[in-house]
Amino acid sequence: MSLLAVRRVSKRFGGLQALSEIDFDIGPGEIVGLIGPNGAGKSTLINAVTGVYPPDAGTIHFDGHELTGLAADRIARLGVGRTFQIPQPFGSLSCLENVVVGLLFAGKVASVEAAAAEARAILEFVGLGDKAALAPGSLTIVDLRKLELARALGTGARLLLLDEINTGLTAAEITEAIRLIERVKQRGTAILMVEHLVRVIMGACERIIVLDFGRKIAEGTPDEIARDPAVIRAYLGGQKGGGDAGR
Amino acid sequence: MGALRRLRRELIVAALMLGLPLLLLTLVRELFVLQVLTFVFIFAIYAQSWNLAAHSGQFSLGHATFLGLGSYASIIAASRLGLAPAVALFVGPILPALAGFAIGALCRRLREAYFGMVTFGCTAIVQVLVVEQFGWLTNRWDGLDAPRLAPEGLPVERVAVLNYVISLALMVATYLVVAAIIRSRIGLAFVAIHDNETVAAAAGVSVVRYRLLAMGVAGYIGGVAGALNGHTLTRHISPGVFGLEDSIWPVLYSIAGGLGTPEGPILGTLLVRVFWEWALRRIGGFDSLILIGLMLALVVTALPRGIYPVFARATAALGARLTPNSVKQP
Amino acid sequence: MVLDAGTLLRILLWGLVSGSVYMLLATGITLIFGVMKVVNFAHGELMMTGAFVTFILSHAFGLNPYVGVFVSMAAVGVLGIVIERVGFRRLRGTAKINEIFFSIALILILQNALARIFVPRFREYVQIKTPYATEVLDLGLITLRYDFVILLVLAWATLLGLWVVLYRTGLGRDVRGTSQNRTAAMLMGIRVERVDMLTFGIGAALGALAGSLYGIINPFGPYAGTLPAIKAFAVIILGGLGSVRGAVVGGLLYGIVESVATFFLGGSWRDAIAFVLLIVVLLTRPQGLFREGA
Repeated sequence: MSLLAVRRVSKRFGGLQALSEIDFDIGPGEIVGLIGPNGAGKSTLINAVTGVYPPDAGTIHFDGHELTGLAADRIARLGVGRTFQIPQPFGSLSCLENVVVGLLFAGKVASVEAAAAEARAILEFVGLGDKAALAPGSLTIVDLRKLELARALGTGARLLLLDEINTGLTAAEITEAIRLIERVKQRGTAILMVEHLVRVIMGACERIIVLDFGRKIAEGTPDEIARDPAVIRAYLGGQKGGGDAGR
Repeated sequence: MGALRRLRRELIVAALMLGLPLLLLTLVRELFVLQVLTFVFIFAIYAQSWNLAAHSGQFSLGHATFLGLGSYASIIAASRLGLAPAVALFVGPILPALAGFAIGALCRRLREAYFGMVTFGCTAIVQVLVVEQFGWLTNRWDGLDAPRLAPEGLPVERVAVLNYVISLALMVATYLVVAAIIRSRIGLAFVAIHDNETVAAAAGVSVVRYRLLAMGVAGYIGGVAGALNGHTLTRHISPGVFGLEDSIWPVLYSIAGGLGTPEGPILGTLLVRVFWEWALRRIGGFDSLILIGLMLALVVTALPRGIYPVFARATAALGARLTPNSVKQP
Repeated sequence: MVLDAGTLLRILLWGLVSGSVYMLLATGITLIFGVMKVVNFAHGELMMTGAFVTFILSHAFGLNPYVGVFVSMAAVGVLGIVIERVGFRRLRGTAKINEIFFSIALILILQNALARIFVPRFREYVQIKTPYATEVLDLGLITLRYDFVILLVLAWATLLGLWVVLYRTGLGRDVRGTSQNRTAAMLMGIRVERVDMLTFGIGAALGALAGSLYGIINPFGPYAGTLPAIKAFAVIILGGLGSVRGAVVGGLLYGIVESVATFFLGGSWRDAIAFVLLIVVLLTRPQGLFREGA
């Protein structure tokens, strides 16, 4: 029984077909990677699943609920969380409050006090425990990414969509990030992560989906993907397009 | 999270807000002073209403809609439906509250400049409706006279004192209500929406619902201010209320006092109004407004992150602090 | 309401004339927005300043208003440059709401500065008198005021001049480039601050022209700029923010629509129509009818 079922999802922006007949499943507790050259449609897919905009065609089901056409906040309350490629915390709130928002509104925690306590625990979990009182404006990029994760965790998500959460990190930071993601998986959360870094994909993901020009061109284990000629062609046949149109 | 500490602070501030003017009342009986302060109390409520909507990221440039509709509805309820003005005062604002929901719904996807333009446009449309379509009810451009809030037969000084005290009480009550809202999870939702709607939605906040809530409540509170103004100070309402002026003042009051806090609008209204009364007599109306404009321009360009950090630091120095775990920045 | 050919022509003519004024206003605002991504709510006040300068030159110095407009355009253009440098440039990079607050400050300053000079000396409204005020062309069905003809010629000649600047000069190329992609423009070596400044000046000058022409055919006062400016905003949202084409077509169309609607619905709805239109557009096509870009 799959947790997330994406069936023939398509999305067009003006003249650009950003997604074409995307079809895949994610099971409970799985870590799945989503890779592809720039402009392949990875962020578009995440946006479509989380309700930022509806797909033009196809359906998305999560744990029996139909997500297609639902508002983004409703989808969050159903248990789908996400991070943003460019960290976008609530600038007027402290790190603690940033996580509290998710707990109160998506996580359905009853009281502000309970939410504050749980938020503190989540911040500890990601390694930001000592920065709870700070405003996000003073955080480093590493910490901002951790905050993104913390905020997404606060929503109580059973499926987390991570959008390039490791970009800009040093090798040591990436190792730590992988460990963190492992710990998230151990809590039973399924993860779909958009990634560029081969190390992370090969190391952390059980299964990989490959997009190119809005189409799914391959799906399989890391080893299978590494040997797939279509994937190699997509990547080594030249980086496609400089822009992030339709991502 | 320090919510209890904030509540205590708010109660102390409210007590001061109530006590100091009452103390003043025992010392001063000059009608003029009473009237100026009554005006401050009433328009602090109005500024509070604008500030609440602004808290959720909805910077209305058509707030006069609420002021005017509150006046009209209350006055009509009192004079046509026979409601006692004290009752009409709270019934009338239901109309601007509904208008707030409607405008909020209309503008639910608009931000900043677009939002400002449409809210301003709504005021213009409301003015035409009031004059034309509902002219039979509103007496068109001549407007309506308002029944007095104070009971009949009271001498002028007594009436002024009564107006003063009632307005003060309502201002403090509004302050406590707004402070409670801002302190609650609703206030948190407002700030989240203000900062980033997409991320707020991803965190489970129903953006549309909270935006509408903000506009509806702001509409009610603004309506109360309008109704109060009509039944006490001006004793009259006419379509001129739906002009640009009354939509700009609450913005000025709120900026002067510091956006984002429940105390700000009150402080700001006091500062700007007192300055205005002083300047009006020294240099005349036009120059006073030019000065206010210059000061606003200065504040906005010199303190581009808003004057709130300045204010927050000042109040922090005075011992009033926000939750120990939050550092609110604009 | 009898609608004979003469009346219809008169309505259309007025629509064309007032539409040309709206078109100039809208073009100024949309140019500024296209380049700087700034919404200047005080554009109506710049318009009135322009009207007022032309009026003073005509009233106090006897200068032919149609010559005076050029002085007015220059003066308000410089004012615009000052406003950009002192105000909007400082606000770049801060919360967008600050621009709105600064615009409000400008409204307060300009409106009341004008009123201060205006109100004690003149009655509530004035109108710029031209030497041709009484001269008309009798075309049988309608009589065509000389002033209307000159207005149309001036407005469209200016538009042509603007086109030449935008498409045949280096500055125009820089303006268009910055409007389309500011980052790319910077990378290509365009001095975007200079472009900002000059664009604001041009936009303000266009506003001054619009105001002066407005003041020739309408009575005006210090507060008369707000409404036309808001209508111009509605027009540019309809036509696409940043699109000069959209501003021109939209402004003209709006002038005609307003003229027709006023005839049938009565004067009080005249102003509200713009907002009804604005709301309808914002609800259905928030991105406007034209694409962005000059």
